[in-house]
Amino acid sequence: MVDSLEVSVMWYTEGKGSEDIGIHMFQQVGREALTAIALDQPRRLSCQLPASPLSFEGRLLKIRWCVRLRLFLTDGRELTADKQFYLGHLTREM
Amino acid sequence: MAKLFRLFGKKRGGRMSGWWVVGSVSEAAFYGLLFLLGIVSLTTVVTWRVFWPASSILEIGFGFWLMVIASSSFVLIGLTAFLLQVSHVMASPELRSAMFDRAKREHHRRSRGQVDAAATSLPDATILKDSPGVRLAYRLAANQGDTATLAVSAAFGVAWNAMLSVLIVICVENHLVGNHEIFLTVLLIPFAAVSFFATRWFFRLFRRHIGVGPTTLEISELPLLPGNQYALYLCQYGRVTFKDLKVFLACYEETTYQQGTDVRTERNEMTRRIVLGPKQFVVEPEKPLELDCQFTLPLDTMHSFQSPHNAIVWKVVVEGDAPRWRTFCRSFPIVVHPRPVPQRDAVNLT
Amino acid sequence: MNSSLSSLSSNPFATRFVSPGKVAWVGADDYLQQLASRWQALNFRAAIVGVHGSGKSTLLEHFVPWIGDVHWRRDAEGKRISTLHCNNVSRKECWPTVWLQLRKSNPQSMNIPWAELIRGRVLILDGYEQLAYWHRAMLVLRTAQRGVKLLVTSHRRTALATLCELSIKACTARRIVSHLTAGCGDVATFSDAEIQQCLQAHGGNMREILMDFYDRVEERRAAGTPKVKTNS
Repeated sequence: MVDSLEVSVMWYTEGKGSEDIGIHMFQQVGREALTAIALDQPRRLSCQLPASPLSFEGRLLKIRWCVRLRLFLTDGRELTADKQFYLGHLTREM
Repeated sequence: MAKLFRLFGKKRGGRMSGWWVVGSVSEAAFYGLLFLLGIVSLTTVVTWRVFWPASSILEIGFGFWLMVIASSSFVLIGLTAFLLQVSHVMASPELRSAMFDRAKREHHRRSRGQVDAAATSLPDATILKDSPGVRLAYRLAANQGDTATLAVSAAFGVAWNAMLSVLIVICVENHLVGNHEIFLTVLLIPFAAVSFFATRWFFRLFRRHIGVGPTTLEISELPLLPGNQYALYLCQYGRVTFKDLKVFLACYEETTYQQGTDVRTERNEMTRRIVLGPKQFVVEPEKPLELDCQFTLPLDTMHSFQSPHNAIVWKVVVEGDAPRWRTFCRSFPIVVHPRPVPQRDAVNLT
Repeated sequence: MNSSLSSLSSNPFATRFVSPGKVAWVGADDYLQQLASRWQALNFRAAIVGVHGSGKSTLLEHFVPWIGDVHWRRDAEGKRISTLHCNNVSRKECWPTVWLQLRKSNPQSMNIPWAELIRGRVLILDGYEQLAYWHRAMLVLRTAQRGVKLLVTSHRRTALATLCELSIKACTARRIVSHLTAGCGDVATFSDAEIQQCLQAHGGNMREILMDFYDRVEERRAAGTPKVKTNS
């Protein structure tokens, strides 16, 4: 059972160095609000994305954007799911 | 011939005349010697009183205290001026000014309780805009690079020479009163050799740092935006012949990571865009090298980025081979921002 | 923005996969249980010893859940780490632990939170050798007086009893690398000979080996994948 959830639109760094994150948008849905939501139905999330940092693929450093959903379960466990997306106009062929 | 005696360089408007290399080295040497003279005289006065209190020479009184004060002032003036001279080489006036202003702004910001709640990942360009240029809008502050070695050599040289001076004074005093301390005298030989090499190491580094003369770089606009054209103005002082001087824009990715209990930083050059050269240039003290160039930042340029452990850094680098001074390289940090995006409706992520 | 690019390939040796807490346990299944028993036999005061990159911090990440719940944790940067993590390890005992990572260059990380150290708790110090000799002696005495259990990691043997001495063997290195690179394709495939050679070159320092492989994967990718620009 889901007790509460958090949705973030964020960037994070990945690579050889220690990781950094930046939260662009954060929404928390508490226990009471969750009861009014049908979790099995898709929901739409909207936000204006910033001009920076752009997604980037370097050798030592990669900048990635994602929408992160964190579910807090009633038994104390946490589940996390990331959906990556690409922000900007620079990339490697993928 | 008169020039030979003119040890100190003179600033004439925007340019320098004379041998400021010799001038700076001479000033550092002069203040270093003043410091050592102060140490020697202070040690002589104090140790004479301590070891030979019955002696009628340097009895405690007006003359004694005058000597102590004069010697102490030599030590203080010599050391301060010497360190100032070294610090001038380690950080340009622009860099010192920018660091001072940044500290001041940071202090104001903290005193008003404005803590970085929404810290941006774009480095602040206002620090770079603190110094206006003469020909173009902004004068860039240089990264001097390997100044830590110079600082270490200066500190070691000062400390070692001060210790050697004290030992020499004690040794000479002992010999004068007929107490021939052979062990101390012999010990002075390796100590003097270390002192010689430490001093030579320091002056070689110092000369190398100031040898080529100051480099001034000005830019037409800051921060830089991809797709736009910018002008650069380079002014190089000194007496030097560059075999292949070049100016280029370089982009580095930098990352910091923990290796067990150590912290390491790694840097990788990602992009290099030649703006000028490589070409041969001759720089004369009376006629500094002045170069104007233009460059366009490509549209696919990654912007500068700064986060606690990672960074993307842009620099304008002036590099060349100068036979007398070995490889010459000075870099000037700049900030590249991303192209502004038109305000649109919210993007939907399904 | 392009949301179709959902599988941006990661380097399997990136920090997010190779940091001590992320590397999977590749040792014997009952090793942690044996270690817990041995620690108990040593009166709950012992040191894990090993050179740089021998897996001391990684062992702690897997061993601490065996001995208790993390009550208070601080990293080498002096920051508190949230300990919402819940482990489902079945164990006989469960002691609240105070877990500190020490770094001499960061004075904040060197402070011992004595207020948290009450009787029955476990003090875990990662980087014990970072403390000065007198500080170590005082710490051992003070924790003994308070009835606090002690588990430390160190590069050298200490005055405390040695719980285990770690070193990376070729088979361990192979298992770690194959676990990290599973499903990553040819670009991250390394032969046993390459792993062995790398192990020798880095003197058994697993951290250096993983960093080396990170660079090799990036080099292979750069050689095989031309960079193109796609405007969206």
